[in-house]
Amino acid sequence: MDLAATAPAIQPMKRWRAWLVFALVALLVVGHGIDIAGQREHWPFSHYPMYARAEKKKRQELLSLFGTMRAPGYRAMVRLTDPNFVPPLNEGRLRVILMAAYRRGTTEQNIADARRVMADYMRMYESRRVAGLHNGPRMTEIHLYRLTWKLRPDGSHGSAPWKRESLLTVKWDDVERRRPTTAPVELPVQPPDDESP
Amino acid sequence: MNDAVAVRPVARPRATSWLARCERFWFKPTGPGNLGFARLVFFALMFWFHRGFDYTIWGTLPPSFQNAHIQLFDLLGIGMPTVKGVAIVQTVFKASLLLACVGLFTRLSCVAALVSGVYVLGIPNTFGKTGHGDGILILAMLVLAGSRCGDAWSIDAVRRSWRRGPAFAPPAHSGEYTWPVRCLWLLSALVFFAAGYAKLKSTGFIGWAWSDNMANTLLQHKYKSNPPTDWGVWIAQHPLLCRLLAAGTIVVEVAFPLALFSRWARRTLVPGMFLAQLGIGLTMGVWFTQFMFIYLFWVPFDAIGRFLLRLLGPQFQRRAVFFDGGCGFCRKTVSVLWHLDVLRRCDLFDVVNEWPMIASRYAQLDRAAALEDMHVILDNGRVFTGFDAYRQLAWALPATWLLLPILYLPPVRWVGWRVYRYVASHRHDAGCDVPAAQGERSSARLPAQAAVASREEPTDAISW
Repeated sequence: MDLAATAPAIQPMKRWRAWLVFALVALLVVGHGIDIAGQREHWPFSHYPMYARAEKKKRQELLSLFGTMRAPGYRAMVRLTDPNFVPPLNEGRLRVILMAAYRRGTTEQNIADARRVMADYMRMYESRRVAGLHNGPRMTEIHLYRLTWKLRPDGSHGSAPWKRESLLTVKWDDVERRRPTTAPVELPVQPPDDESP
Repeated sequence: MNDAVAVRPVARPRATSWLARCERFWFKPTGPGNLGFARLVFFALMFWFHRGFDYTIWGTLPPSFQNAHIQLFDLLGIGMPTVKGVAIVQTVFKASLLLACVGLFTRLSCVAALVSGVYVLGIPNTFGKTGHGDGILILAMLVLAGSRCGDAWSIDAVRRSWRRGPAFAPPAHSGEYTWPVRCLWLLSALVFFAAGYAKLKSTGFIGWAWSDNMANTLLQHKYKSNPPTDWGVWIAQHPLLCRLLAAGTIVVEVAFPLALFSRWARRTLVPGMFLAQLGIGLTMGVWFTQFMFIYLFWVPFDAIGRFLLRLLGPQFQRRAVFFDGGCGFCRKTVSVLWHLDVLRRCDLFDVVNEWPMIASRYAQLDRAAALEDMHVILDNGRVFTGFDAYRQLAWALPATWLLLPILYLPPVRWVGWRVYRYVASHRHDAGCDVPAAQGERSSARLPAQAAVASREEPTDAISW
């Protein structure tokens, strides 16, 4: 059988299929067109504004959470970057949640939203710690800081910010006094059980 | 003068010409191989990328964290995810990705992957920030769900070959295999054009490209993204290089739609954009992994396949395969074999209908024996039968290469021969004879088959 000699047949497109394709093309173009023209986002369409705003400042500002940690003979303020504390919140995801809540911190609503996020974070951190799901020490306070680095041409001093600006603080006692703002998580929420100085 | 007028080609009306161009762009008939292979790789990458993510974790987070809005979710009434709900949908999602990859129930799998993907991939985008990578995947799955991407490189295609029997004709070319690829090109063009336009609209060319913007951005990511290399810091120390890279980025992004129409643009802009995104990962630690999946559809897999065929084909000996053309089961088996023979190294011979020609070319072949067992003869004249013939074929079929080490295990050969003998001896019980409507083949086969003596399992002398 000489298969190579057989030329492939041509199967024409059905008219209704062609119109369906054009409808799909129109959806893609119009969906993106609206977002591009309005510089807005209608997921899954987008105007893809990645890095569109020019970075003119020679500094880097980041919102970051810190926890006041206590253990017998130990007290420290620790930057909360470990995704195991409250998965799946790695530092980047936590930062964007804080940014969406706090924004510039100019309205009562922004501050209330940010405090709620901080309280919920501390509650989840503690409940997971008590359940033995991470090795972090007991957290008694949570702080929202704005960290600022001056950009050095060689990128040095990455770990030490130039300025730390305390924006908000939430204490564990305040968290416990208030009614929970969230639906109960699946892990038991208990107060810290280990006493420390 | 008159002659000149007479030879001038008749100008076609512009509208018709545009329509023809449009139709050619979207619906130029092509084979199903390119789209099918791209589908296979796309869903394989999707499965690989998402396999380790447990999306149920988003269901454990408090509502205060869910502070980014997706209008589509508002429209569909999707609120805070629950662990149980996400667990069910993510199972459907991952299973659909796998099925769409191997091409089993391809259309249904693609639709299921799309619907479950909207939920599973959308949820993380409601926490803090709506990202861009998952959106492009959803739109790509939308295109594939409406396409006939399962017509090649799929289990569905093999199943169709089995059902249909030996057509032995190359698959029909159709615009159905062109438009999905073009749609994904269009999607890429829209995405990258939008990114370039956003920069121009937000900052302007000079402000974005001819300023310290790139240097500052590179240095900022040194502080927050932990990039895998220090190349970003090095580039930031060279202002002119920063500005050229920034200007190049905007030019490539805004000009990207040209790649839809110009081969020259395709060969420069697409690799240029790919390298730019790779560079962002290496210098800034920000990886556009999901975007990378869409580049697949710019790869001319069919051309690469033809190149590999020319390169690899001669490395493999040709295999002459002799089958009982009067047996429906054998015909279906051979039809699947023909489908899998992408290197085109197998020549198929119907012993019932082509015996005179076979006898003249392969004098060593016994007709009765060839009707009893499948025979394979290599270029060097070595003859293999039954299970050993199938094992020989596995060398020529890329889809079965992974099985080769297993096929050569001694117990597998022992079992393989017994299974082969059982199937071969019962194939007529299963009503495998070709119906009378298909011609004289059945009647031509029967006397010869009656004369065939049962054969013992061959010795190792004729095995590989």
